[in-house]
Amino acid sequence: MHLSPDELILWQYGFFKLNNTIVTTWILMAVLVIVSIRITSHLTTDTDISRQQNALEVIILTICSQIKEVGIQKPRQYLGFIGTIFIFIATANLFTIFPGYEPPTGSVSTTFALAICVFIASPVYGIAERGIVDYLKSYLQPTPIMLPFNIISEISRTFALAIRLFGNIMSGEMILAILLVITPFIFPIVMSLLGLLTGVVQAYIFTILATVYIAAATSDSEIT
Amino acid sequence: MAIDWFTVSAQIVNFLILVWLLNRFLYKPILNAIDAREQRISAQLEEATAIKATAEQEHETYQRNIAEIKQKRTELLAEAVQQAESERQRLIEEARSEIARLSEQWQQALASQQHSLQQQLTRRIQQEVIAIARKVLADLATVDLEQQISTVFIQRLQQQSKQLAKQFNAYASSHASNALIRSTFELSEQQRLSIEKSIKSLVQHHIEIQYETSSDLLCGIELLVDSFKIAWSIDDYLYRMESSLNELFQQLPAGEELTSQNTNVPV
Repeated sequence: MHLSPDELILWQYGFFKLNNTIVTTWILMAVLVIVSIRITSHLTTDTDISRQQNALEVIILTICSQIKEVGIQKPRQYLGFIGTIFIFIATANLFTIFPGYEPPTGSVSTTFALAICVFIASPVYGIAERGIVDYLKSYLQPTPIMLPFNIISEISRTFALAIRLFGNIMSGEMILAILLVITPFIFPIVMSLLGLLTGVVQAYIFTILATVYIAAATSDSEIT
Repeated sequence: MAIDWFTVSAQIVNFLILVWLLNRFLYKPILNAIDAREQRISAQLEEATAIKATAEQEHETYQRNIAEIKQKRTELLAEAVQQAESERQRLIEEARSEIARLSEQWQQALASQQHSLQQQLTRRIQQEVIAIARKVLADLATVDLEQQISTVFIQRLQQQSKQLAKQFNAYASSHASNALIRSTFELSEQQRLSIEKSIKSLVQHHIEIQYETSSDLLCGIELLVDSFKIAWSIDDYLYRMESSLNELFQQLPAGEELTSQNTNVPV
């Protein structure tokens, strides 16, 4: 038994290696892209739309409205980044319904990668929106004394983001694996259902936190 | 729980690629479709608003037209009723005048028929009276009717001798001295002599007497000196009888007359 899917290496050539996390991520990416292409190839602008298109529109418009609720006035500008975080994490977690599947979000490397993306995206969006000087000034708020604390806060929240997601998913997987050994019937199914719920909730939490950080970076006066 | 930095970097790259892919194949097409639909719905709503405004305008126009048509219909109906009433009055008047005309025609026809009937009746009675008188006189008194008529004429001349003589002489002196004796039958020589004798006893002048037989007279004799006339005939009796018959006809109920004459009235 291994704690992280990183440990299952499928192919390695020197520094380069293909572990379970990377391959599963590729598979997820392929599934998401293929489904997207398939549905969007039959898009219609009529009022009579297909159920798949309707479902996708509902998901995307809900993400937009959630982004807007956090305080970002132009949600479409950040939909690509924030929406992909949610869809990727939610899909990765929901696929645990398939036996033998190990979610890439159960790997601390993946969660760190996503957290680093948020860590980088936040100042990038902030600088793009407000300018570098204005953005950097936000680190001196409310007083310049707070500068080290603000920096520590930036780093620590990135770690918290990564560890929270990893911890929840990994722990769920671990509990499921242990329960399969102890009580192979009934309980694993209940825990699996709970894991699905937890997975979606964690995707939502990660996405909302990332949105909050980006909103804070882009509009300092609104989010402090 | 060791962090594999190669996996971290690979996942960062994977994530960025996924962002690009989803942006390309999911978000943009979906958002474009949503925008297009919203625009289309917005356009349709605008169009619907315009159509609704037009429809409301047309509705108002139609309502106004309907009101006008109703008012016009009411006016036309009233006019038609008035025309019908006047036409009815006209027809009634026409019918009344037609009835009056027919009634007058009928009255005229009735009067004409009555007159004709009276004439026929008078003629027939006259014939019968003459025949009866002739027969009665012949049977009871062994006297000829014509003889008796001339006798009565002579008696009348003698009865009115004084008045007649005065008038007769006045006329005879101022006018021509011709006298005409008209009778319905040929007078015998004896009758002529008797009459001439009676006349000459009245007239002081000489008078030329001519005789003429005329069917115009109704069984009688008349003496004509220019426009002066002395006559006897059964005309007087017949006249009285005719008056009596007229009274009888007038006393008959109108219904009986109508019933008796109905078949002769033109319809």
